[in-house]
Amino acid sequence: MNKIENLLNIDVSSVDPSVEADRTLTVCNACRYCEGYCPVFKAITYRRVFDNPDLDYLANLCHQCGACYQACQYAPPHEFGIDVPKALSLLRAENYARYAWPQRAGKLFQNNPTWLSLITGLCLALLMYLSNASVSIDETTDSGNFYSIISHSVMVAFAGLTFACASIALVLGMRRYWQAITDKATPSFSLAALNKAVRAGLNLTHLSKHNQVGCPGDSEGPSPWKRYSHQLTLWGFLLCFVSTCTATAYHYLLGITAPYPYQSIPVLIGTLGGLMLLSGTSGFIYLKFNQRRAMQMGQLQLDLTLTTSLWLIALSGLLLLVLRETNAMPALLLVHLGFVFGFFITMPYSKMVHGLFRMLSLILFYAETEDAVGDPAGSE
Amino acid sequence: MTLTKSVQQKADIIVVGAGHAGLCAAITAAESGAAVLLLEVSPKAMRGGNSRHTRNLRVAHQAPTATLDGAYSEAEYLQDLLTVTSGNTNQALASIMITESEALLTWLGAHGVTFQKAISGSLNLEKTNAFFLGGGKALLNSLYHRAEALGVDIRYETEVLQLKLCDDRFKALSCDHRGQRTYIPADAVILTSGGFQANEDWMRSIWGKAADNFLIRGTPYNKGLPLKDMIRHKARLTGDAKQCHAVAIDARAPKYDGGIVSRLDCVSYGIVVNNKALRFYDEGEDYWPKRYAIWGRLVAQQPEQIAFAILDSKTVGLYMPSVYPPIVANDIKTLAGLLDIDPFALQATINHFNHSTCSGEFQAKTLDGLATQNIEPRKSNWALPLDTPPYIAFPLKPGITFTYLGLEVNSTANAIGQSGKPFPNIFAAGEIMAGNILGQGYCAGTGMTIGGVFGRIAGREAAACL
Repeated sequence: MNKIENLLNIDVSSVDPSVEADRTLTVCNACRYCEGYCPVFKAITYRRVFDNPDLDYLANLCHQCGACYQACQYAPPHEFGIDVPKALSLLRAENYARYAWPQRAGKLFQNNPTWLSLITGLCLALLMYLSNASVSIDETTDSGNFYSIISHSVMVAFAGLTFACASIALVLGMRRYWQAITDKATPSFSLAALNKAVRAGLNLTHLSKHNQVGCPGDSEGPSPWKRYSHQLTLWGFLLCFVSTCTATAYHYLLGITAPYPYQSIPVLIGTLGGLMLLSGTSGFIYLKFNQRRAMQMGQLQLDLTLTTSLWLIALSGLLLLVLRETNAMPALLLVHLGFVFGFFITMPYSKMVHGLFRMLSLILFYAETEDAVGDPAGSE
Repeated sequence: MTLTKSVQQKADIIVVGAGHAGLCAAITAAESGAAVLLLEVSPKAMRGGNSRHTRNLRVAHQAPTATLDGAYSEAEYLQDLLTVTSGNTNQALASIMITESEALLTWLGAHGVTFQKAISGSLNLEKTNAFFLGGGKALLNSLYHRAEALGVDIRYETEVLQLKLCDDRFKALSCDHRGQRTYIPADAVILTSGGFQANEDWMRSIWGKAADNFLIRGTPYNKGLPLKDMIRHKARLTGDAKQCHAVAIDARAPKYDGGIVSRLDCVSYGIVVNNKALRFYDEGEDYWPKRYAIWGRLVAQQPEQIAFAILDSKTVGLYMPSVYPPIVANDIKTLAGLLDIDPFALQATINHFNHSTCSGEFQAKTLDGLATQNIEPRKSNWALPLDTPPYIAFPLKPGITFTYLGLEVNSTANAIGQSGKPFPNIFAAGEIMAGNILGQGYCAGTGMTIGGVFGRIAGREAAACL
């Protein structure tokens, strides 16, 4: 009968995340004090009741900045026990598995993210090592030459295959999500809305707006450090990707083969990207263990698996650069590439998908905001 | 005073109650160099009294600001105030509040409070009221942060029991912290401890057993002990001791702290019956924002202090979503069963009401004059017959926002004795003295303006008497 009363005394973690998100946002929709904070609170005013794809969409709009929790008159120990960031975080985690393609892989990964990432990385490293034994080494065996350890064709085959698998699974998963959230009404899309969404997504506008003050050790108050860590990680990751693309262009278009000198473009970009990625993920790991709230948000293992594997990839990549002329190189190379390719193959099921879920949600949000007129706010 | 077990080191100024008014007072006094002790009765997680549930403050301004549309002159503000209080206002104090309101807005901004950009459609308040981004608790968090940074000594779970006076001068107070009684001397005291609506005995002494059925919309910590003690010290009082601001809210709301989400605004579009299934007041007398504040008292006068708003499916979507789901049935008798009232009586009331409705154009957003004929009480507007299932009901109870009784103050926020002489070092701000300005009724956002303006005055004046 009464979902508020029925859920008052239930341990939230044992409840279906959709049910808890519905209960939470129903309270929010009757309150609306947070409407100035972020798109979630604007988007709920367009709705009277929330069904499942609606809730998924709203969950993925949330950037988990925490401002609404700090401001909430119904936060625990109030008997309503409202915690919007946590309720939506739990639902997002469930979404990553539910919309994944194939769904079974998503669920499997979600249950054991850390072990699966580790095992995938190590298996790929081993496979590459074994593949190499059967492939004749047609390059020179100079020190610092990666192809003397793993032949170029094996490397390309692994890279191409893992990247292709990841891309296909990602596209199919995201298509499934997009179809679900736009099922009831497809808003009219404009370039302006798309532009706003992409800008807001890449700038993390909705993570930063109300978190301009605070320090990384602050366990309760607002802090801009999560955004700093995120931006270092994101742009560091993208720079590493650009570095790889540049190196590919060097190889195929310019005919210049690796190893590239330290002052070459791929190495410079890659080094910068690697350092950013290393510091960004270090920041995340520090915040995770030092902000009491961050530990309780329901995605701890997914988050740590992603940040730790990116951290390892960055560290092994940088070490590889520094130690490429020593005899640590072969082992480092196998580990680095194993984790890079492992990262790609698990990407459609890992926390990496949050960026795509969120971007699609932002696109829908800015589109429906141009269309809709919400209910007026109330007051006392 | 024999209860006290330990005596604490003297503070310059003690502020009693850490809501909006108390924080404004404590910060202002601390910025003047005073050593301030701020005593809050609630635990930290529930701090801030009724300010937790507020959302905006009413501000006079000459031109549009970042957070307010248009202009709102001081004269308009005063007029709006006098309209709701029927002149039950100390105009000298009201003028101070209105004149200082814009400076308060600036001051809050400078002390870390953020406001929403001017928003449209908020009960037409975008011209008059500045909205706190995130609401009252966000405002409180910013002010607490500032008070802590200034070195204000904030003590939670500390209930002030009695004030010790000597020749009308405040000397010390006794307080209780988790059963530990302490006696703290100070040079001045500022009382910002709110009303007494959460004091069950006091409420029962006014309302009798009916008080047991009241819901308290705000904090359970406003017991009014400092107010009661000032009455003992023969302070002059303001506001009707027997009145409180009561709104009809969803009867399923918690006893305390239900706040904004328990409100209902559907009454105008249906009928309201008591548990005998009888109507008792004109549901369509005026726009709901102008009438919601009388419905608490109306429901309080019904048997068992309960009533039911009954609607049909024609008007779904015209009122705000409620946090509690509507009670729905396909026929009136089943609905009555769900509400535990006599089905035949409810059917009869609705039949009678339906027969009294007239044809005409229903207009949800204006006083459409679609009234009943030959029925008592009449319904003056929006009188549509209830004939389209499913039928919808919401149970109503009186929700108490605040009590009107308070301390009379002068323009420097000093409490005043029965002789008319001010207590030289006892100040009051916020709900405990709001009755000077809001003698009856309510004008949205005025409570927070009174708290902020008189909190700052009290902080300044208390620091000046050191």
